[in-house]
Amino acid sequence: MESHPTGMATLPLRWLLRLFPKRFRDRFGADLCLAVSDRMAAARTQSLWAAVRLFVAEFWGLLVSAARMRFASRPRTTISAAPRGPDGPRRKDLLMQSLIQDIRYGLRSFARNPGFTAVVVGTLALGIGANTAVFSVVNGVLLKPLPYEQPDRLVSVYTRFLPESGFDFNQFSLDPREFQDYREQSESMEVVGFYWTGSTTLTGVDERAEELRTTAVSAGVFRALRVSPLLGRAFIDDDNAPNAPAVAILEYDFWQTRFGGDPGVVGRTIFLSRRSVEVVGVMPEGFDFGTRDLAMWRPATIDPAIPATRRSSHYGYGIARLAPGVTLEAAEAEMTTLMAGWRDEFPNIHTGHFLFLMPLVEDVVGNIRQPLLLLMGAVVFVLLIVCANVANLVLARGENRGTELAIRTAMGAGRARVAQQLVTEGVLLALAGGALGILLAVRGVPFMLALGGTAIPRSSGVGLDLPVLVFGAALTGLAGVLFGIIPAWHVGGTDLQSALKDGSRGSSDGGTRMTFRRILVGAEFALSVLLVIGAGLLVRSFGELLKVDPGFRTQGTFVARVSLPSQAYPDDEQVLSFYTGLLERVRALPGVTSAGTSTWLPLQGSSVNDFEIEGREPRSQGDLARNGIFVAAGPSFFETMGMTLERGRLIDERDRLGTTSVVLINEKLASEFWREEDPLGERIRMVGLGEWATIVGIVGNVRGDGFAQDPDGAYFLAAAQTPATMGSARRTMWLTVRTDLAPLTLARPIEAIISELDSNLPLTRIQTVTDLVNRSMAQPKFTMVLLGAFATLAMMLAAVGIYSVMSYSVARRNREIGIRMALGAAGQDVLRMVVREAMGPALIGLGIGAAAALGVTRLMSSLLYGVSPADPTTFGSVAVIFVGVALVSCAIPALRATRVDPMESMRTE
Amino acid sequence: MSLTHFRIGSRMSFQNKELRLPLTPLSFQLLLAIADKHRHGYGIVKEIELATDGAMKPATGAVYLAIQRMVDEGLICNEAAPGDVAVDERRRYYGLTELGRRTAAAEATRLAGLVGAAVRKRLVGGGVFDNLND
Repeated sequence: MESHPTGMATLPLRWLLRLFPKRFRDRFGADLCLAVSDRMAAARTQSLWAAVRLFVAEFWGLLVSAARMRFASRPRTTISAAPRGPDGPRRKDLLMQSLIQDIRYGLRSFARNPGFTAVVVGTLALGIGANTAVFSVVNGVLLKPLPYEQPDRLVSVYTRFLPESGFDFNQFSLDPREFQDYREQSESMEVVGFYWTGSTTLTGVDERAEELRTTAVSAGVFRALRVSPLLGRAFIDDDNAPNAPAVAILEYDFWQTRFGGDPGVVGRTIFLSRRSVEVVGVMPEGFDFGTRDLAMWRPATIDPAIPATRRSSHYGYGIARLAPGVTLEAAEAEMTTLMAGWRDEFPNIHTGHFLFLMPLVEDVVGNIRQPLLLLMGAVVFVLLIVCANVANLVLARGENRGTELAIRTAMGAGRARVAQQLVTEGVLLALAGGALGILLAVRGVPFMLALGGTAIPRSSGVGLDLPVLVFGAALTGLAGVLFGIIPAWHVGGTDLQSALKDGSRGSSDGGTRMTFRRILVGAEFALSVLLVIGAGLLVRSFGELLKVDPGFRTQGTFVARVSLPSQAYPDDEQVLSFYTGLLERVRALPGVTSAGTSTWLPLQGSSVNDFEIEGREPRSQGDLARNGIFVAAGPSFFETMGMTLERGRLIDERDRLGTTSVVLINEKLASEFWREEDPLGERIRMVGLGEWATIVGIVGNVRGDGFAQDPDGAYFLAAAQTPATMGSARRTMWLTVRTDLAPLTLARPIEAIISELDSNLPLTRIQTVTDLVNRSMAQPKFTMVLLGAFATLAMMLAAVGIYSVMSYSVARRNREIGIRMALGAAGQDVLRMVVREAMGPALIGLGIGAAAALGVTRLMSSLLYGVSPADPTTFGSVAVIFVGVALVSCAIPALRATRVDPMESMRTE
Repeated sequence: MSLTHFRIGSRMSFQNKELRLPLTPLSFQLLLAIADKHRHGYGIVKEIELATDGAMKPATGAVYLAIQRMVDEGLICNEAAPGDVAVDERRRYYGLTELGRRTAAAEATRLAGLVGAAVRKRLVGGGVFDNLND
């Protein structure tokens, strides 16, 4: 049965089979499955639509048949159904008509119980809505195939540095020589491409100058992705040659907005960083490989003159397509062999440093997978709690309807007819809840995406598309089955005579049903305790993250980027004087406290470079590599960013070309390389570049790669001395401005200053340091806020659950309580009795939930910062909260119980 | 409607206590579907669809509900491997018992009686039976 081709599609149908009595299942189950599979297979060969229609029909048919059979298999009651007229059985012909009748009847009965209906539909909507919304994100980000041909054949190529190499980078970029060697030597790959991201300034289209994000790609990148241009041509290998004419291919959206979608753009010349470049193509809509918001692709040119032994400029990324018939495992095995060869050939480079492959989809999805799966798990729990709650309500209602249904049966409604009625009502409730839930998801998904921001890759692919709607519909269907079958089952077992005699008091075996409902409440408690503990851990972790001292001020700082094209500013002198002039004018603006420049900003990525220390032997194999983040910083940068000076002095106006070159190091670098000695006065220089610089100060550490990352070592050279220390002046700088005003109000005046200095210069990436921080916090915040919301919802539902069960129980035991009080029980005793009854399932649920949490939260330890997955504070407070919640939710029914009037309660009998 | 029935024929032709007539349309079609040979579940569904020109497309669940009832009532039998069909040992094949054959025949006669009454009242022409001989 499992091997049947349409097995997957019939799985839910086979699951439905469990609703049938065992006797039927044993005799006909397997056979029925085969018949359904055959029918599905036959329908599938016609069309997908036919298969879907059949699926729905079979689903409904099984549901109704199961209900009928359950009903028929109950022992007949002494009041027999009215004798059937000759046309009795033929009602089946009138199924449609009776269905409409049932729907009408159901709607009427819902209208009579607006409270019940609203609670059931509302909670179902929350459960289904949360699931559909989270699933649509999971589907768009994790499940949908990447938008390329055979995307599972695509792999990313990265390098890794193990500590024995002296570095420690788990996932690092490639040197172009490494790419070239791999492309030549690998036989597992159909094509290997190489790319890196950058930016350029566009002029010559209209009067605006604009900084654009670009991706430099080798010709192999588009070939690996198997994407052809919409217009013009793709890159060819000749474009990558060092002296090839400059060309570019436009991204679709950029072409639309900046060139109005003009097809004549192909062949046109534009100016990028004031160099003329010919547009040779436009890529199709939706293709945006490389970087967020990119505008165009340019050929990745690799200088062939650089010898194969120089392979420490890691700035690019590899993408490759597996050759036909080659598995990823085979390609990895080949890689291992190749890397052993490289290690023999370049022992000083490739010891502990090698290339590795990663499926492209993993690379794209990155570290959002775990939070998304966590949230998916959370909403499934929420849905389970919702189901337990609704089942509770439906059961209570079913028991109250015992009399009504008994009368209907006595009046001649067949048992099957009553069962169909109940199934129809359950399905109606589920449909209403599901429809409302999907509407909630429509509103919720944009909210989730906005909350996640840049932390969610591929967010453009997230939406309520067919798989998501099918998912929502399937949840609705399951809910319908559940709420249709449960009451049919229970009412089916009701003894009609006693139901009629008992009046509204419900059935005689109410005791076992109460036990069942207490178990439901206990389960709700366990699940919500688990969720709230998970959410609590994330909240604590986020709090720890906020407490971290990042090493810089996060408020009141404006940042933006300026990039000087080499065509217009060929000399270092011009570059330096431009920035000096810019800073002078910016500092003169009202509201500006200080202003500085730097090639680096925290949380914006960084470049690492080797340095050497004067008077020390070159590093021997296995030693810690002498490297750190290198920064060129102008005067006032440190004050503006609020970084601390530990010892010595900061870079200031004195540090110009011609004076002694100076450098600052941070505490981390100082502690790594000057354990015993005093670094002040020592001299270092960047390997392969420039002259020695004297260490004049030590600054505090900065968490430049995110608050949860340990700070890296860094050294800061004076920007004005970079022609001497780095070989040339830095043309691209971040301008940082500290102000008492709202930082972004400075954008206009600073733009005005820049355009006075050079009307062709754009000021780009205008933002505040707070923006940078928020963006780096987006992912933990996304996870925390959503899990927090779901956990709160779960807790409220659990509270409602315990409230409704206790209310019902008190109402049922009205008479018993009355007798107890008549026999002398005080209000206190009754109160205690009810509370004890309520706390039983709550405490057991709490215990189970907390125990489960101990096991489960370990799975989320990579999402936690500064908090143990078994954090006693979180567990303790959640336990206290839940005991409180349980007490409050049973307080009202308990107080009601103490007010039972013994006379009244016994008289109503 | 039932009053008219009583006037045009003997009561036995509408309700037969021994044979449990009348049959539901689905039960009757089911018996017809296996009248000529043993069929498995999917074969029965296909045959019913074919015989009614697609007017009847019963849910598989409903078919099996009827199968169970008629097996219990002794109208049909099921066996794992009948001699004259290709064998898939997991499948059950269903065929008519002697009682089933008699019941189906009685139902057909009953229906024919009804149609005959309609012909006599000139609701339809006598030609309605002609296409049976093709």
